[in-house]
Amino acid sequence: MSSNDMAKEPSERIELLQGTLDMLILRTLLFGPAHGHQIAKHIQRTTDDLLQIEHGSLYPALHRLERKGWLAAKWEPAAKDQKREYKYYRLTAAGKKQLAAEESKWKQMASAIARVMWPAEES
Amino acid sequence: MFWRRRKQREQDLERELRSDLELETAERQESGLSADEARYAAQRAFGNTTRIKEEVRRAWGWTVIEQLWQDLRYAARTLRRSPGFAFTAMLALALGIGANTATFSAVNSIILRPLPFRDSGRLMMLDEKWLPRFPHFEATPRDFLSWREQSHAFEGIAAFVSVAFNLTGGDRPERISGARVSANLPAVLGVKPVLGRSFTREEDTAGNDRVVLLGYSLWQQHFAADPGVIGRAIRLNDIDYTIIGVMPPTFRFPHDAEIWKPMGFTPSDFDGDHFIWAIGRLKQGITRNQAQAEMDLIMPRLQRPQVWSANVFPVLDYYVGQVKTALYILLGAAGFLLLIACANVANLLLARGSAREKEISLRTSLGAGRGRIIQQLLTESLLLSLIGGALGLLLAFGTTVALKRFSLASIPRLDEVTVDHWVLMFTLSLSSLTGFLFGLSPALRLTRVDLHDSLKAGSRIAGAVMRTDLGTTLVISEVAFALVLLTGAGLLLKSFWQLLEVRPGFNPENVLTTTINLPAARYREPYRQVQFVRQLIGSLESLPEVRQAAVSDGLPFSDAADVGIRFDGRPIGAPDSGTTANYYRVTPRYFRAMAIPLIRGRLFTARDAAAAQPVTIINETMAKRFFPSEDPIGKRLDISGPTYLRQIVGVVGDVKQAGLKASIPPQVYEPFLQKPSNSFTVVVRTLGDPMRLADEVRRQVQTIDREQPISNIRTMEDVVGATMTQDRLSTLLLGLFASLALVLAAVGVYGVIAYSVAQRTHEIGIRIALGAHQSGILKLVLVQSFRVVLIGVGLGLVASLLLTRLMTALLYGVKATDPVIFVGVSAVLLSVALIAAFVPAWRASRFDATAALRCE
Repeated sequence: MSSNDMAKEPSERIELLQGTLDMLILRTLLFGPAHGHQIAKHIQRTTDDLLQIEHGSLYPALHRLERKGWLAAKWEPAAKDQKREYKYYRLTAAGKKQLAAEESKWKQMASAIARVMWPAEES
Repeated sequence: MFWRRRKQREQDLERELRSDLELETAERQESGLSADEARYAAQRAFGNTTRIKEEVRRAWGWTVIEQLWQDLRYAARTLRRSPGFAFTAMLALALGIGANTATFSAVNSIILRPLPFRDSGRLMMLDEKWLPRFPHFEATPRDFLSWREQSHAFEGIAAFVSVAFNLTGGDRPERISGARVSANLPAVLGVKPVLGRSFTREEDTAGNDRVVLLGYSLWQQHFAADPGVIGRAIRLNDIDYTIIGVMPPTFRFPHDAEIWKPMGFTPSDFDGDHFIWAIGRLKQGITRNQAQAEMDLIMPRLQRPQVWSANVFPVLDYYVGQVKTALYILLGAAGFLLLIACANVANLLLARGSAREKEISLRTSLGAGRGRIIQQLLTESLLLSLIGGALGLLLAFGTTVALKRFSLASIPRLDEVTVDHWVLMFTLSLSSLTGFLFGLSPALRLTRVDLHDSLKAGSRIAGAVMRTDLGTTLVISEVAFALVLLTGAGLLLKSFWQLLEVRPGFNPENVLTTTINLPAARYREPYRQVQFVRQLIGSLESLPEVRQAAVSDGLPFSDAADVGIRFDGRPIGAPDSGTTANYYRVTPRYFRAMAIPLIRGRLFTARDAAAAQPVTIINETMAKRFFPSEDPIGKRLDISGPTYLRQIVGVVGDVKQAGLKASIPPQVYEPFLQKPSNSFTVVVRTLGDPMRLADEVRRQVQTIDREQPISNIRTMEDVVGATMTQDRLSTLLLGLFASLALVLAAVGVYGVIAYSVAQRTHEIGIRIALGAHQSGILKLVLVQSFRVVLIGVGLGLVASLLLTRLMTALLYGVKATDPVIFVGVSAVLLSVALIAAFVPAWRASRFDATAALRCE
């Protein structure tokens, strides 16, 4: 479902391409363990609210990645509020490998698209 | 196990979402919103948590088992919601599967389960034949010894002959079934004594053969399972034997033998009498046919001219013989019944499908794949069939217990019939298969319905037509299967009817029979045997309830010797010079006790005794065949054995010897007083219930000889009835199957016609509105039904023509293609089906036009 208090108008929002969310999550976790809320907020902030991560896609993605063994999860107290526990996800070795693979795939695709879109600049 | 993990994962997810939601709320509160506003905003940002959970669960993925469990619980709920449907379907399936399970447990125990001998598949019976009169006949000791010498196909060949022993020395003399066996019999069968040792070669010679092996139960009952019994003496037929071993509990060979002594052939055993059976173990790699071929080479060397040849056949055939055909036919019939039940349940599922159409469309539009829905529908069918199977198992279990309680002694191995793991596996696989069979086609049909069509109200026609087609096909096959069963049952019933009409040639009512074997040690001389018999008959006939008492050494429907007859004064080799005949040695009042009519001449009298002129009585068949144009009275004949001529003094009525179905051979009677024997049957015609006299007869025998047991006390009606057990049972069972089939087919026809009428409500409404008469509508529906049923009957008739010939062996006096039965059962099926169709047709004709039109 859509986020209600949008920072941008719907028309300005970009629909995530299929499969890119996984890559973004993996990349975010490269900085260190984070829980779901942090991951969503980080992506949103980094893209200046251009990418809205829906909870309806985020949690399934996290659980899917965990099941594939790319993420590991653990309940840990928060850094600032020791009384609260959050489910922290962290990147596994397999996850790092997967991130590298997806990144190179994405790069290839991006350059391929660029070559089609802006042929003049290319030559 | 996976449940715990699953539950934990659910809790984990719940906690994760809650903690993140709280954080979101906290953050919004920090940005200046009130607590309530913040919670509200956070919730909206999160969206539908149920939906999120759903999605996450999908990410987890369902394992096959979880999915199955989910489907099963859903199926159980669905079935609980329609108890009428569930009950009907389960009942039909329970009957179908129960019939199959019961029949299969019989087939399994009687035919498939190996006999309790080592590698029993390689054990072959060996006997002799003289076609066409004797397809199976005992062998002579001389032939047996020659086989053993000359055959290379067998590891070993053993011989046996059933004998009964009078066991004395206890409180009450007792008669025990036993056998004379060649010393190697236990070795050939692969059975070792559990105590002591087996016979040695030396003990297998006359004079050294006073040793016995005890059966396990005899050892337990008579010797209190005393291990010290070895070496002790046991008194059998007034001769002392030494006990050398005890056999294992499963060993009862042949039939119900409980004690075994060595064969120990005496010189008189080589008189040419055929009285022993042989059993051989095939060498590894030798087939039955090879062994048979070898026997066919050996037999001509043994006699000149060759009359007898040898049979080699599996030992199981010796045990179960003809029952096999009946059982397989019953199994086939049960299979048909199950198919009918399947068709019926499939029809029910289809009819129910119209109610579930919306549900299925809804689920499809919500994203359920066709495969997933088919899986769900199949799970429901499987659940139905498995519950039906469980009920069927109970039914089968009850049936086998009941069958055993009736102690139908003439069915071999019946006491071994049990529901074992093979039967359980059979039922389980059959139930699952059944579930697929009746579930698959409705599932495919129901899911093929176009989404939009059925979601829209009032456009049910397309799917309905498809379903009616399938339903019609199902009903046609139901009717066809039912017809096959009905034909089979009809044929058996007519055959049984004919059998009951057959006159046995005597009156079995109010006749008591019992067997007496006088021990040769004390009754060797004929005059002692005659003395005993005279005394016994005298004392029995003095009893007020006894009308006549007699003895005979053969008994109709039980056993009688076969002898060779030679007519005096006819050249040897001429076709009418001699014959074989059933042979009875009887006391004078035997004919009156059995109510065998005298046709010519006279019966035996007390004067036809040892010193008088040898006389004989023949039956009508012999008289007609060998004295077609002359009076047989006064003619003379010779009976095989010691050669001398007897004068024919009378002709009596024919008697069925080998059962009601058997043809009547020539029969010949001799006075017991002229040719006594030490083993005979006492025949007593009583005034009232013959069994009331059983104890009195025993008392009279023991007044004459305290040591003398009697055995096998039965009424003549039981003797006759026992030969019909198989016929009665197969007729009863097939009749039962066919009646169930008829009911199921009627229900099927009713269901399909009712459904099609419901589908055509609109059309019928228009017809009525346009002025169609009630009778016209009735006719319309009935004609439609009649066409469907008629196709089924036609196909069923063709199938019956092909299938009933398999049961020729079970029929008596009826051809497998008996037109009366074929026409009769077709008529029955047609009328029952039309009655079933009449109910919905009648209802359709009474439709109120306006209501019918509004119905869509």
